[in-house]
Amino acid sequence: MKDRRLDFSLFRNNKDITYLDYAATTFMPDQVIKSWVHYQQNTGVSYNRGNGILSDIAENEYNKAKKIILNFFSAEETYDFVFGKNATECLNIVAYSLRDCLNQGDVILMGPYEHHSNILPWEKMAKETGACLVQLPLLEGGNINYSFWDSLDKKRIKVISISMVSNINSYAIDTMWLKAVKNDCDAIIILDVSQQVGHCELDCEKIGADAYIMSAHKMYGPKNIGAAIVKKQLIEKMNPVLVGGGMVWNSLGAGPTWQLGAKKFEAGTFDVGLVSAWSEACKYLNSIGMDAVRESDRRIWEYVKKRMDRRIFSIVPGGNDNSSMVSFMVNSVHPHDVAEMASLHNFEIRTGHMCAQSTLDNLGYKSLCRLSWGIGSDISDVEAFICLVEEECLHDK
Amino acid sequence: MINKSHLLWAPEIIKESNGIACGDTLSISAYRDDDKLYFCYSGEACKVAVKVADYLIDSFSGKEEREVFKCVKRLRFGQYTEEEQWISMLAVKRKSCVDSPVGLLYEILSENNSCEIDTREQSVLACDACVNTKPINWKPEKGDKRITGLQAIARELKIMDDSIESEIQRLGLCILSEYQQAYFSDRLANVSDKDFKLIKKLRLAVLLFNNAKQYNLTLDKRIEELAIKQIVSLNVANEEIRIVNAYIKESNLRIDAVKGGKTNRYYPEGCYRTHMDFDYLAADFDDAFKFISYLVNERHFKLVIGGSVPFSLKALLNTDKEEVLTGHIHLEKILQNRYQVVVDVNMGGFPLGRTGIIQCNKAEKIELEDLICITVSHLFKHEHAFMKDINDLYYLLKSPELNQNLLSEKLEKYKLVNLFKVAYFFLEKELQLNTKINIESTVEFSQKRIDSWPMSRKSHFYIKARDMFELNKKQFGEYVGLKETINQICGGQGEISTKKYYELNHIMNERVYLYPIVIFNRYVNNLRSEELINIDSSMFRREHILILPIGLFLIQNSRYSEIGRETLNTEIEEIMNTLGIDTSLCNLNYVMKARKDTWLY
Repeated sequence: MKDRRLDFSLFRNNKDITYLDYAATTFMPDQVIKSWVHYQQNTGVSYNRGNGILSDIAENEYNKAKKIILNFFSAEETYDFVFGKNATECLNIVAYSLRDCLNQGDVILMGPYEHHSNILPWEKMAKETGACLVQLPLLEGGNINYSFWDSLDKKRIKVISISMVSNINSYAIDTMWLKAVKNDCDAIIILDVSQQVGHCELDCEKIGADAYIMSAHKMYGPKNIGAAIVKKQLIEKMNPVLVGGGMVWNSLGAGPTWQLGAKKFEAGTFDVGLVSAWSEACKYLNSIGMDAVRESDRRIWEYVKKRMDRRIFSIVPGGNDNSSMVSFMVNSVHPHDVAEMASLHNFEIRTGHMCAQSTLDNLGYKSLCRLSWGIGSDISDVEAFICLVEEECLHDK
Repeated sequence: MINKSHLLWAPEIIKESNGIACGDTLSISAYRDDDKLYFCYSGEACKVAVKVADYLIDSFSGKEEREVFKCVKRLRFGQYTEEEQWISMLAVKRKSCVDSPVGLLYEILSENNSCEIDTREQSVLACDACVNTKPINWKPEKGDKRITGLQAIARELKIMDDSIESEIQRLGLCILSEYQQAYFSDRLANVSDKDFKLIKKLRLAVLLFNNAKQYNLTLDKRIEELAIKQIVSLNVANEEIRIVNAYIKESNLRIDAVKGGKTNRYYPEGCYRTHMDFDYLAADFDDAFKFISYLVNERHFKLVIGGSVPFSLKALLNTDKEEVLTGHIHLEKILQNRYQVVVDVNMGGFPLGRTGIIQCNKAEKIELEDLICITVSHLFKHEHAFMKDINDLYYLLKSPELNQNLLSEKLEKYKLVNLFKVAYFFLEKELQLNTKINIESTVEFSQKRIDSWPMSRKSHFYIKARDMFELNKKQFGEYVGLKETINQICGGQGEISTKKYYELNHIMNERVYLYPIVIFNRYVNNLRSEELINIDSSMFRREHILILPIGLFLIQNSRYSEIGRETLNTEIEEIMNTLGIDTSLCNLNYVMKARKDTWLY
């Protein structure tokens, strides 16, 4: 995949940098940037406003792009988009919009591997409604204790919001368990798929969750756009969070009436160029093939697993077979100091609690180092980093 | 890791900071002495934070607080002296790493914490293990507000009973009459804030939730919410307890669960029995210490400041009139950042009132009949009876596994016959229990008291007091037994001297509170020195300090005179030197501030 770096102006302009923080964000290949620039240079308006030529083009572009993205996730039939700035905003929108579905004594179930963005909105909702927030516990070795489900009163569970893939160790939720849960209760199932979308295929219809939350920038799309892909039926039950122009059908009378479907979530002027660019990112991934991306991830992960000397590196357990990341501690060196050392040698890695303090706490860590890879990464990148740490550790001794 | 040479013993203030994104966990421990502030840092932090922390300790620890405050304010605003320019250079790229130790020190300087041990239950004959702990006050007297003197007690008894409490308590019983069901609907469909607080305090939420379900009655939404949270919290705690129980089994420790942790299984399906505390009974002190060390060092349970009971020991006579030592420790852990799990370890036996003890067979596991005895004992432990204990007793006695003869024997052995009779009378009358147990009571309580128990606190007190006198009479004779009972009721100084445990405490039945000073990061069983006074097999004392395989504890009882900081530090250093212990054996992360936001009871 290393030759794919040529697709990215960022890599061409920063040849010295070894980027190993794909789990935080990915870069846009040229065709995605071009798509956005093209939209701004040639169309420039929002959709769902005027009736002019540009508005028509915008509307067509919006619908076309949406179709491509939904198609990419096999979600054309039963799902629609609720757009937001990023996955965090989308999770907030979904949580707030479901406020009326939650009552005192209801249960919101989460996974143990949640990012702050999938905990804090629900924690707030739980506090406001009197619902009760609970996480599936972790077993030793990083697996989820799915049997905890049996101890819960299923009738009480109203929302299940879980990360499909962890941003700490790539732990992947058991989709068979999800299916069983779906048959076992009437809860709304929400999956945070942020760490999956850039790495392997996501078939929304097949999994059958009620909503999937993602950011375009984790899959080589633009920043400032994310989405909740939500079942059309559920959208009808959700209340709009932001109100204003574009989402209202009639603002006169005793109370305003909202637009139907997902449009009730589209308040204010919208950058169609971002949706267009995101659809271009889908095309880019399709052109490479998700299987090829996954295979590349797997090869790097296999290498890393074998290569990292356990006397120097303590790897966080629980990763899946095609992991696109590895979190670890460098023995006796604080992650911050590892990051500084890496930075001096032009490595871009992630250290800290990865916005998942509760996960780290469950795993018994306070702070970690993380390498994550994707299109443009190669075994040589991780090898160079490992060598650097080994050298530094030996030097310190 | 922060340099351990900077360690500071028995801090009065502990604060922890979690970096916003960095994941550092830096703690500051401090105490004030003579207008001076002494502090040190511990935890996992990067080189920059460690360097700044070390600088702060070297420059400011032990200095006049006012002077330190001035300097720390200056550092917070990024104003550095010439010698501190290196900090400004570090702050360019790693500002949050520099700010973290400075911020913690600033927090401590801006606050001022008071320090004392305080009683939680206030009325006469309340449980003496139920005390809140705050940072140490260096005074031997408990700063409690317990009612003392016969006149004051008489005054209290007059106002003890509350008709609202009695009415609400009754609705928590596991069987309700038709009249009670109708009253339930009227009373509990919507409750006032005051009643809600009372229900929480009486631990009634889940009991009422069970009844609402069982009889299809409407229950106030807040009570339902609280009950669900307690049930979910218990489910989460059970996962931790499963691991803990597996350790007990694998390690062959003579420790068994008692109370809620064990009685649930006798409840019918669909009927919840929640509890936050998981009580264990360790027949053997050494096993208890191994268990405590495991909980603190491997499962990260903590001793709590500002919340619940600390660690205490008490010498008393068992039913064979042998002097025995009992102990109680309370450890907490926060799960999922929102649920509290509590482990209470009772050592040597389970307390029976102020002066009695239930000692189960060391070699055997706790049987159903022991559980019943412990439940009866607990029923009369606190200042009022809890309905959950009554329901427990009802379901335990209804169990087909019950051996009536064995129960009779155990009730006799533990001198619980009188209290059991009172409880049984109620179960028979109110819940139509018809399990026949052959026992003869030795005390005739007035029918008025029996009839009004358990709803009347006054009757609860009279029965407890009368039974305690009976027990004391048997243990110490009529005159001394009466005096001891009066002392216990009036909160006076006991007069019966200990023999075997004299070096721990001169007074029988008086609780000794232990303040943690050093906690070892593993169980240490070879602490021996001629300079130490041996109290029990693995328990030693030197001056004010108790040396246990889990750590060093400051003894707080009525015998010792006030101890100052300097004396304490000297004593600790001397013990460490005598035993050849260094700081590598210390767990620095053994205490936490109470997380009241997680309290569901």
